[in-house]
Amino acid sequence: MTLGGGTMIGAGIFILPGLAAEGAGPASSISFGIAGFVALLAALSLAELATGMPIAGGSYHYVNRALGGLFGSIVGWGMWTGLMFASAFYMIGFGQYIVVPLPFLDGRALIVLIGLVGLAAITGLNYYGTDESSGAQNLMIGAELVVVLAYVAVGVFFVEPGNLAEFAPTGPTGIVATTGTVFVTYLGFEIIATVAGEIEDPGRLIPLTMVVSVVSVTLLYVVIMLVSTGVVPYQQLGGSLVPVSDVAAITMGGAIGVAAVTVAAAVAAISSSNSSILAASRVIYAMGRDGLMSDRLNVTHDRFATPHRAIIATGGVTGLLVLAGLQVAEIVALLAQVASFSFLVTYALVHVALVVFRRVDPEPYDPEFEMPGVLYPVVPVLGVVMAGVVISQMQPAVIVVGTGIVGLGGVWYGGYARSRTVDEGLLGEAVATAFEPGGIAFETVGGLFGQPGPSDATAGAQSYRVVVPVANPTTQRRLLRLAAATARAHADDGEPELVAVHVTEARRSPDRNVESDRLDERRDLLTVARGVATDIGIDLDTRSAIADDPGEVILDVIRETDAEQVVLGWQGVTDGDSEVFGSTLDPVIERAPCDVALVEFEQETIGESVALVDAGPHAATVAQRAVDFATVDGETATLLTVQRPTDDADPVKEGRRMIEWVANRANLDPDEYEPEVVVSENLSTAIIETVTGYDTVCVGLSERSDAERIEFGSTARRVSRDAPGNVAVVRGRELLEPDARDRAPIEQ
Amino acid sequence: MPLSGGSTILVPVDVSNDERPATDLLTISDAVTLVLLGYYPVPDQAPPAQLKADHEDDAQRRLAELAATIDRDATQRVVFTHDRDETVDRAAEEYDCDAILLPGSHTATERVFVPLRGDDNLDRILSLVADLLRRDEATATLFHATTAAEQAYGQSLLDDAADRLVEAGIDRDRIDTRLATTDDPGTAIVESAHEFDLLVVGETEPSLTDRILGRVSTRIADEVDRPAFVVRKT
Repeated sequence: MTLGGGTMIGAGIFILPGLAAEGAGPASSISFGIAGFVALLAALSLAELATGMPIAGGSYHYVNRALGGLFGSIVGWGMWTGLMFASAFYMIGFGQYIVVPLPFLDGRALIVLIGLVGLAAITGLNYYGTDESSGAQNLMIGAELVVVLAYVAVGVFFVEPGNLAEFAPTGPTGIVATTGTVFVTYLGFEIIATVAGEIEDPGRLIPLTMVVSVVSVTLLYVVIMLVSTGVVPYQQLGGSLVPVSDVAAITMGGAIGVAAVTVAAAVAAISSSNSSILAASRVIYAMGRDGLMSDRLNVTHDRFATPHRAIIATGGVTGLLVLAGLQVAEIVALLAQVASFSFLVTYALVHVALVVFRRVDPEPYDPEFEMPGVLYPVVPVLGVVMAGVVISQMQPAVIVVGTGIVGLGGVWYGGYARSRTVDEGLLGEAVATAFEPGGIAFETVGGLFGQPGPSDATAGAQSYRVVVPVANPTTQRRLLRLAAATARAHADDGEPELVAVHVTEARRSPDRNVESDRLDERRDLLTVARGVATDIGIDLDTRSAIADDPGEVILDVIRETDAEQVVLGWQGVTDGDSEVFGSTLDPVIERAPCDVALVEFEQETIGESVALVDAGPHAATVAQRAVDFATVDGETATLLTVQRPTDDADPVKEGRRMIEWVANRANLDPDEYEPEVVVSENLSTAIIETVTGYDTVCVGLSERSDAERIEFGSTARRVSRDAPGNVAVVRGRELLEPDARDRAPIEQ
Repeated sequence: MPLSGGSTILVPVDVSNDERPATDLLTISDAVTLVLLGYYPVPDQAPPAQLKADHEDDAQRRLAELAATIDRDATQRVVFTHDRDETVDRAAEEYDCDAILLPGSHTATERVFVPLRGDDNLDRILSLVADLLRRDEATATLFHATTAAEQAYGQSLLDDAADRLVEAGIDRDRIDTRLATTDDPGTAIVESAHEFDLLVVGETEPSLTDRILGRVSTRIADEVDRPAFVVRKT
């Protein structure tokens, strides 16, 4: 919050009113309004992208992903140079505010010199690294804000309507041209996105912070411009290097007001310039990560742990730009306009990137914040158009330099980066899908979030779908193989298809940077899943989501895909008081409208499987799963029952009848299984002893079910705890339909 | 109410350099569960991911070596962070820790100093003290500083606390109580603390100044160069 807000307030308020008044008179308040509107459009697009991929790098990252390395390079270089121009702009402003009020100082050379000294201090500070100076920073920015608010509050009473009478001396063209100058102040909210990888709860905070800071700063600027031009006639204000001081000299008690404004302006310039250098090194880092920039710039310092080379490079070029102030009289306006140009181009490409992401809807993109329906595609289209309009009114020199920077990005890509980059970008795909009948291909994630997406098209009647939540890299392959085998075993019921789901739990974590790690993890998991599916030769659909409650998402996927089964990995018995299997698994086990198998992996092979059949409600499903699982390694499943010795009946015969009955209910052919009957007084011990000889044991979830709470059957619990092999705890779908549940014929 | 025992303790360890913290304290009691939080401070200038890419292996190795030195099970976690305090807070929350161990240069563990403020958080504090005292030879001094008017309450607070430790199976001889009369409890605590090896203090609510100027860990932990278990508020 302080990062973005501080930069924006600092950047504009003290330096720009003079330039703006010169360019458009009192109507320059409208220029600020337009610039704010353009920024707001960009903020909306950025917010959606930033919550979809919260990774450090900001605009650069989104454009690179969406449009490929060429545009990534253009935007990366554009942002870097834009930030350097902005930084130089702030430092010259800093020099002006220090030099002008001191009577014994004079001249441009001194302004440049003081700007360079300030810049050197900032660069040095960043080289050595700052951590947690945020307390002092917050105080300084707070003090600055107090001065600015006082300036507005007091200034209102000094406004002379006569000064505002000639409201727009330069007409609409002048207003738009001035927009190009003042847009530099809106680089601030971009910084929020640039550091998005480190913000907690990005889904809520990023859009909120961006929109609130853009809107509030815009309103503040409009008022400040009206007050400034209302107090001092615009012609006079326009000629001033320190416009805010001039106004404060009239409204805020002369010298005291000037001193307060001078201090606030110095603080503002330093903090803005500092933020720009921070943001620049992040852009360089992000480019280095993608191979668009030499890794040598991204080396971190052994002792200070700072990306010192990137900081020095940024500081050095910024210093040269400040030095240019010796030769160029209008340096401040030029620096501001070139910085604006770079970021207008960047934001235009961000809008395009958003459209590409929406069309292609690739795997890792699930924005938590989505632009509401009425705003899309209006916002991106309008954003590009407005950027074009503002740029078209800029000075020819600015357009030349700006185009040169864009060209530099392109040349850099062609000459250096092209052979090194790996990211292809999604543009080609977006274009391809645009011409495909039926629109969007690719994995569909949208359906999870409520809109009736095209994903429903995949939920046809012809498939036998097995949902597999993947979360654990070590057991993932086995889980997928098992799920594939069981889907295949039901090939008669439909085309076998797996649906791999990965849910990133959206909880607070001590790793600030966790989002990008989790995205990497998710990508890895789903990539492996695809690999396994290809090896096995089975259709795979992948889904992913970020949610508070993974269990609910898994249930949504099961319902939406009309799945027949869900196969879940499980760590083993838990003895929690309130949870039986864990907060993720419990709701799935209780409410999934399909067969559920919970598999605890103890060994590599699935091998020989055995089903523990009894009179419980899940026996048929248990038998069926054992038979399915046995197909993984081409084995035959055993259906096992343990009987107590009785006086009046043959327990072996009783056991066989039971097995046959269960097999019959499960539609198994006699050659698909081996029956085994064990007679023992102690059922539980006998079961454990017998199943020890098998690789994989399938047991029913429980003997009874309860709508509120599943009782994890005592036998099942013991087996899962004591059996050395893999254990699958199975629940049939009939659990949900008490009427359809038919009990085993109990022969008295 | 009996003391539950089995406290979980978060041990923040700087894994950015090879300096090892003293490990005596970590082996102090088998009754506690340890969470070793290896934090790697990241300056504002670098994204955590950048340093993570460069140094994660080193950081993991250092933490694993520490875990191996203390020779007991401990949860290990490495975090690259801009803000150590915030990371510690969040980790304590996530692992549901009862106390955080702040290091000090002193390494003996025989005399434990327990300043008590009131009933707040008393269960957790005493439960941890009991865990620490289950080790032989350690003794605890329960301390309360109060104004003359409040002495009666102070004495009953100390007596109750001592009784509960005895109930939890701690030998009476190993528990001492001390009531100080003063208008400045903070200073009294800091002055007395120097006589001891180890502190167990309850966490205080950060004040408004703390929030604006950055957090101050408890003044006691800062001013007394002793290791301190800061028991979290629930």
